[in-house]
Amino acid sequence: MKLKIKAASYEIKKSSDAKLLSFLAYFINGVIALFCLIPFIMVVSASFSSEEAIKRFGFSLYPREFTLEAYTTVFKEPMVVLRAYGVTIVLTILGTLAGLFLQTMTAYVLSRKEFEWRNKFSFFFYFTTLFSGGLVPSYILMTRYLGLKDSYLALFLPLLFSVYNLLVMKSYIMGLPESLIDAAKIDGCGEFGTMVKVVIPLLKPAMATVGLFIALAYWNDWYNAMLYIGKESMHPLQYFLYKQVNNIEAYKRIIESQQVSSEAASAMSMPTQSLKMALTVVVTGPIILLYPFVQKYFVQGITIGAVKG
Amino acid sequence: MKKRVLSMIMIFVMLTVIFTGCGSGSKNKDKDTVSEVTEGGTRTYNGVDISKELTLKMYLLGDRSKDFDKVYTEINKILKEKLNTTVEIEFLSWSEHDTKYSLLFSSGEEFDLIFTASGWGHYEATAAMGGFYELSEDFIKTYAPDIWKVVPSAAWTQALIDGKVFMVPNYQNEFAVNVLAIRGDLMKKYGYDTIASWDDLIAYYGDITTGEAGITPLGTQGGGLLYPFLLHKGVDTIGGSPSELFIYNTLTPEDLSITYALDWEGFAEYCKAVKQMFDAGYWSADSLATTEERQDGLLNGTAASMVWNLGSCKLYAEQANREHPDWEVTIVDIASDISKGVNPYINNGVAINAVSNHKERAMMVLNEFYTNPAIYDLASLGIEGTHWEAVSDDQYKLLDANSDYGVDNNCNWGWTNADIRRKQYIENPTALDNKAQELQDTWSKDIKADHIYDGFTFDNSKVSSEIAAVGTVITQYYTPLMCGMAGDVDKAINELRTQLDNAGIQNIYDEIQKQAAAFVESKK
Repeated sequence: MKLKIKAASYEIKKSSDAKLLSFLAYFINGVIALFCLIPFIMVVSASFSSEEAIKRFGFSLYPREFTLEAYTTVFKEPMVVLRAYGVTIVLTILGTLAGLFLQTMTAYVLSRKEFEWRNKFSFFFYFTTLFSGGLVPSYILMTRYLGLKDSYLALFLPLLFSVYNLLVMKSYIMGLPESLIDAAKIDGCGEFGTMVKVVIPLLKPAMATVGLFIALAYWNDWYNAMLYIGKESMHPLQYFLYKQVNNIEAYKRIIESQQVSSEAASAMSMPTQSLKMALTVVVTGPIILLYPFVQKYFVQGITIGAVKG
Repeated sequence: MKKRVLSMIMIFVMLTVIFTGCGSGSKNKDKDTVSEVTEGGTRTYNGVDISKELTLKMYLLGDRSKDFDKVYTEINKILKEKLNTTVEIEFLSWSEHDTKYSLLFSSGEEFDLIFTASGWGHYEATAAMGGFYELSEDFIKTYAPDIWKVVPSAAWTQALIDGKVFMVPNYQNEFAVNVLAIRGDLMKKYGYDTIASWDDLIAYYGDITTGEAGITPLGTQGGGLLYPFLLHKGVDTIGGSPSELFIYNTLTPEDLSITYALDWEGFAEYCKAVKQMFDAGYWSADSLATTEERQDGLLNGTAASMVWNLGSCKLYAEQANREHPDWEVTIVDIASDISKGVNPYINNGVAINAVSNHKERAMMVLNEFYTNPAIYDLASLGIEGTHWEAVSDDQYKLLDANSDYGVDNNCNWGWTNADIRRKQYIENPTALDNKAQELQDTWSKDIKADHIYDGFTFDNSKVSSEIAAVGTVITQYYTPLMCGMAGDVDKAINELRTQLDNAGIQNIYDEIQKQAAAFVESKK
């Protein structure tokens, strides 16, 4: 009861420019959020609209001529979509766990002052972000030397370690008071115990952020699949979607070149707009549901480095 | 400072370790993946030793159909028996082949056969980077004698790059010209038996505009008449040039001049004609920004005609007649007095990888694909009895399971062979079927002589900034003119000319002429 009165009196004391500020903040954020939301609503509504309605009226905020046709087409052969889902989910889970483990361990080691070569190693990691091998050399490396063509490892390994995430993690660990580690040591904790029992619980926000980054990278990756995976049954979800959506672009380009023979032209099936949208919904659905759970940590995570520790 | 030097040295040491490590590892991997089964004595086919069992790898474009693997198991049975060889197929999907095609060659990946096509199928680019194996006349005659008998010499000439052949072109006479699908009920209503010339068409369009409400001759496809017009004038555009700005006389092979469209007298004539038509309401004003496709207007009843090639016109005319039998959609050729050209043979083909270890066997396999009727039918139609059934010796009828494989749907275009290709059996031919067949037969009797520029594609990468500038001018000034929406024609043409000059059209013209001359030279 007392608390409530206090809060109320605080409200009254709020000056008028603070009110204006919060009004503006809500208003502007609300408008921006709306702008972000509208396209997605249009995608969802288009996926439920009939193809004729999309052609005639364009995209709209609510489905016109409601139909589930696009979704029945997507799931006509459920095994194809489900297998792609399976590949992506397994890759994302394993990749996130393994990646998080590797990156946290590395960051922790690099942040410890006892590690004499930490700056040299940090530089080595940083150095790799400045240069990349380029498309052809990395393709040759992956397919000819490492023999990873048509292997799930080709999807797993390239995303396992990100230097950017390492730097985020490292700067967060540097922000922790060193005396905590010393205290743990004095209390008789071993190196690994210190890491697991003292450091990791404090790292939760950073780990949630980095974990989400890694999970998103795995979830959204189609490029590696395009380069290294030829077998259709091994394609992850995003590449499955990419192929469907981009066929239409490739098709248009080829038809416009006017050189293609009629057999080739008729073999290129054009996915309809509503099918594309339905695929997008099917693919984005699960990862959107992940956001609310990690968002709490995510907000803490991205302020890393904003305040000097 | 010292520290930094030390760390740099360390990095280089690590890099060296990584690279040498990979290098030594590769040596062990570079072994032949092919299984070797030597049978008693040596087996030969056409005098070539085939006692070694091989599996060849072939790349095709597109997406794998549902029954593809089943069909190729059958094909492999025949190939195994005849040539002691099997093939393993990988697909490059439509969305990825632009990136991956060249990557396959630059990374030196080992495979044997690959689909290729002039222009859109990476033929010229890959040949230029040395990716394809050169097919000499001796090589073809020795390992693919049947292909040598089938493929016309014009096709080999088209495939020449700097005097060398790098692909086996497909063999079929496919007409590339534009025709019109037209509402037959309206033809009858206004008393037209046939429409066989540009003037007939314009008169018919005029009657529709004045007599019919709610339907215009071309709907939203205002720009559609240009190609029929060019055809009727006997000129064609240079492949790869911006829009239709550079043309040549396709009917006279000895005429090697390339004309800037604005200097051609037909240009102003066309612009004036379409302006009159647009003013009279032959098509709607949203032609410039429509999202409709060519066939939409005809199918939904807002347009009385559509322009496209024969195959597409027939396809959509059939659809329209199915949905509205009273429309009696038919096909007309408004340039009936002009002989028609066929698509270049190099629009589809197969090439052999330069790093393949089994080029001879690859060529022998291709010979089978191209000329063995059993394999040809399998690759083109699927399994007999499952996907299709034979009607007489050269026709087929589709069975229900066909949708799992399709007809000519599995990138078998590279070895299309008109001599052994089956035709679809039509039980009760409609008037439309007969009309299409009649056009095809008439054209086949009078095929236009090959003009060297028919197979020439301009590579615009050297003048890409001019091409970009011209692109904006085209959207702003050229397209409205082509749809008759630019107001005063003479003024609009002058404005277009000035704008194109400023955008550097002369440089493009010079480059086209340079490349065309080099192209002519390379075919000698």
